[in-house]
Amino acid sequence: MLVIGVSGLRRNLSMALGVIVTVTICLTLLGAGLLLRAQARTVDRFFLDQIQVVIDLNDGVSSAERAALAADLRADPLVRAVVYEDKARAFARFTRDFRNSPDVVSGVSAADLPASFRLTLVDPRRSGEIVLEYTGRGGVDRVRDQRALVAPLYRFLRAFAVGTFALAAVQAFAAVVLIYAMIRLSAHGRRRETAIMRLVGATNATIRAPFVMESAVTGMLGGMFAVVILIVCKVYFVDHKFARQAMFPLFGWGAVWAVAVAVLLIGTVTSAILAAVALRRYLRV
Amino acid sequence: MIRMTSVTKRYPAGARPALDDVTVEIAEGEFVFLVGPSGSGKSTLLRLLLREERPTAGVVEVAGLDVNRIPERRVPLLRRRVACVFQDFRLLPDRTVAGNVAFALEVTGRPSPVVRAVVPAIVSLVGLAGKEGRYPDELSGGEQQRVAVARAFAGRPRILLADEPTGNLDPVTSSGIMKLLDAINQIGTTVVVATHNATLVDAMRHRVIELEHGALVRDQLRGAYGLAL
Repeated sequence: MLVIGVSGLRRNLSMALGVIVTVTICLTLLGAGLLLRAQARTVDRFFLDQIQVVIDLNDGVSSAERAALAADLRADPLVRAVVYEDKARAFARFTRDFRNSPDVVSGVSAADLPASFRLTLVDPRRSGEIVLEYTGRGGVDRVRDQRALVAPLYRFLRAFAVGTFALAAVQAFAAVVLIYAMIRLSAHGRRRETAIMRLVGATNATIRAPFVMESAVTGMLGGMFAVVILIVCKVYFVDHKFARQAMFPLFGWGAVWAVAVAVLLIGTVTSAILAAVALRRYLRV
Repeated sequence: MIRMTSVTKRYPAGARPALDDVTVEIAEGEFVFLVGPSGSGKSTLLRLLLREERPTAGVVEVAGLDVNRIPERRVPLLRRRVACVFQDFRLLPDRTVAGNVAFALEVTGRPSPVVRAVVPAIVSLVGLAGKEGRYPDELSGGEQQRVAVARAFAGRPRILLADEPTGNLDPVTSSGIMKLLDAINQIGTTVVVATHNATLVDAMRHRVIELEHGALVRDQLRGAYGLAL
C-alpha cells in the first residue's frame, strides 16, 4: 500500500512537493506551539516548587499580634509550611540575592527591611485566597504573591503559543486547499484506471485506497520534515543558544518526542481523512 | 438471468425517453444480439444492466439482484456478476496483456496464487498465448479486444455484455471476436452483444432484440439483423 502511495506521488511530483512543503510548515508551527506550551508547563512546575507568599509585617507589630498570626497561618489548610524571617535574616537574604549589585546593597540596612512570614502553600495556584485573607490584618504591612512576579513570562509564553497556533491554522488552510487540488489532479490522471476498477467490481475502499495512501504519505513526509526541523531547533536554541540561562529550566527531549509523535500522527491521519472527503466529491464510484 | 419489466429511462435533457416501456427477459446461457440504429437505446439498456444508470420507471433484475434497489456498497457485487467489453477496449497502456488481465483480479481481491494460475489460462483461452508480455500498443485492434474480453471474463462473470465490440475492427477480426464470445457462451456465460454488424448477426443466427427510438420492436429467436432476411 505504501508503494502505491509513493508511486502516486511520483506522477504529480511538483504538486506533491508543494503540498509537502506546506504541510511541513504547518506541522512545524503546530509542533513549535506545542513545545511552547510544554515550556510553559516546565516553567510552571519549576516556579510552583519555589514560589512563596510573603506576609511583610509592620515595624510596630506586637509580639501578641505576631503570635496570633503565626498560629492562624499554621492552622490554615492552604498553608503547608510557615517560616518566620526577622529583619536580620531578611537582610542576609537581600545581600545574597543582590550580590551582583553592590550599589543596591550598600544603600540598604537591616532596619529598612520588614520582618515577614514566608509561606509555602499546599497549592500555589490558590495564592490569591491567602492574599485576600491576610491583607489588612493587625500587624500586617502587605501580602506579596511571588507568583505575580512571573505572570508576564507566562503571558509571553502563552501569547507566543497562540501566535504559532494561529499561523499553523493559516498554513493548515493552505494545506487543505492544496491536498484537495492534489487529489483532484490525481483522480483525473488515473480516471482510466478507476473506471476499469469500477467496471470489474472493485469496492469503493479498493478504488479510493491509492488516493488515500498518496495523501497519507504526503502528510507523513510533511510530518517527518517538521520533526527534523523541530529537532534542529531544539539542539540549536535549547541545547546551545539558551543553555546557559539559569532563571528557569527548559523543556527536555521527552517533550520533543511527544510532539514528534503528535505531529506525525496528525499529519498522516488528517491528510488521509482529507483525501477520503475530497474523493467523495471528485471520484464517482 | 436478466429481466426488465416496463423499463423507461429518460435523461433530463432528452425530449423523448431513451428507453420506452421495455419488457424483456433473457435466460441463463443465452446469446442475444441487441440491434438498432444509433440512438435507439442499446447502450442505455446495457448501462442499466450495469447500474451505470437507474431507470426512470420499471424494474431491472440482473443475476438475482434488483439493480435499482441494491445499495451503493453492493454495486461492486453486481459488477462481478456482470462484465462488459467496449468498442474502445479500455486497456491500461502501461500494463502488459497479463498485467491488464491480472488487474481485474487483483482489484477485486483475488489472492496472488489465484491470479498467477488464472491469468495464463484466460490469456490462452482468448488466443493470445505467447503474447502475455506485450503492451497494448504492440497489439492489433483485434488482439486488444481479445485482451479486453479476457479481462472481462477473468472474474468468471455470469453475464458478459459487449457494447459494439467489433466497431473498430475489420470483418475478419470481427468474426474472430464473435467466435470468441460464442466460445465463452458455450462455457455457460450469458452473452448480450449490442452491435451494428449485420453480417455477423446474420451469420450466427442467435436471438435478436431490436430497439427503435427506445422501444422494443422485435424479439426473434435465430433472427437476422434486418427484417428482410
